[in-house]
Amino acid sequence: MNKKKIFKLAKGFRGRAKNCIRIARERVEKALQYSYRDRRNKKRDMRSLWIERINAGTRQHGVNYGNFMHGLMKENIQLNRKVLSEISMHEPCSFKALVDISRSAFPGNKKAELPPRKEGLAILV
Amino acid sequence: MACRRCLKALTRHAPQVLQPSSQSLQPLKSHIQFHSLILQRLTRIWVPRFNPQFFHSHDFSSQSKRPSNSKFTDDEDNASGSGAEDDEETSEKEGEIDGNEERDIGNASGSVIERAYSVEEKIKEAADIGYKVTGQLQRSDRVFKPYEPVFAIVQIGSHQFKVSNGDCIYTERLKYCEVNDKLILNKVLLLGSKSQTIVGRPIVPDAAVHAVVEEHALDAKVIIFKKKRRKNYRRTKGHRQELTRLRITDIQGIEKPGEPSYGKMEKASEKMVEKVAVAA
Repeated sequence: MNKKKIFKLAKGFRGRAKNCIRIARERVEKALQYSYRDRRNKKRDMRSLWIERINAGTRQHGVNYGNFMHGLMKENIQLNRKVLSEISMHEPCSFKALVDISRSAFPGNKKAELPPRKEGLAILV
Repeated sequence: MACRRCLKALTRHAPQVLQPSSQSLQPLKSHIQFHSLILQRLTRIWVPRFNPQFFHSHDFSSQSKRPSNSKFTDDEDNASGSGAEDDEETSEKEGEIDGNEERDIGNASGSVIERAYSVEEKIKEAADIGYKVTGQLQRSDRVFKPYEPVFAIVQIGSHQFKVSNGDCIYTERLKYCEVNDKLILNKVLLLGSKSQTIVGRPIVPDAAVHAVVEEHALDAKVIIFKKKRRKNYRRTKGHRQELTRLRITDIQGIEKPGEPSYGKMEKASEKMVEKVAVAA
């Protein structure tokens, strides 16, 4: 019975690890340990991904991530990074409104210049 | 830390040292308090009939017990601490004297008294903590509208969701609501449409998101496996998290594009007039 469970968890493993019980048991135990650890890592990774996306979205409007979050905290806007990244991807107008609020709240970026617009392949056409 | 714990223990035992006679009276006291709690809803005259001596020892024990509850992390103290907090919330409505007695009873037998309160007020308070208010059960209402290009960011517990009409979200298990219950989520942080964005600081007042509870389900099973190599230590455990699935039906608090209210009223009135004319 335990062997059946091990083989069920060992589906998709490479080589003899999916067929032979001695090797499969080791690999499955290692896989379960990794999944325990990575359930905690996933939270960290997702947060850093959201921060990257927010950073990219705000730099398009000439504000960097640190000043943007500082402005939001000053205005007592309690949106978390997950929904901020979703807004920056799917709702550009609302995101620009948030960036403007942050820029007016935290004066460090008022004189910041927008990054120079890159001209893409449209020139060749 | 150890010094703080000694101090708290000293202050806890100080009143008992100072008033050794009250030790024998304490079980009697708790008994009387329990009865008063039961009779509280019938008559509130019980309260001032207590001896002032009892009140003074009340205050000592309640004040000194509170910090000890916050320090220790046993299960009983957690339950009694949470019971104390909830009783404090209700005590603000009912008066300080009642609150003191409730706190002491809560410390004595924590979870039992919480359930006695969970009939009306507790449900509403817990719903406010989770930012939902249960509406009516759904019968044959037409609640499901077609998609509208309006979104809202709503907070439930500690999780925030970007929702739109017709969405389905999974949240932590919401107590005090059953399947086919209408909910109103009133902690709305941001509303957006094609032409407007309303940003709340932190929440938007007078904004509401209507939702219907679809099901109370369990998540997929996760296997928790711990192993220390070469030390003969291996533990396996399974876990299924309890979830609630909500279907978002309506977002209120923002003008929706494509449905001007005045234009619709005029058209409806014209149609009504035409129909009446035809019938006549």
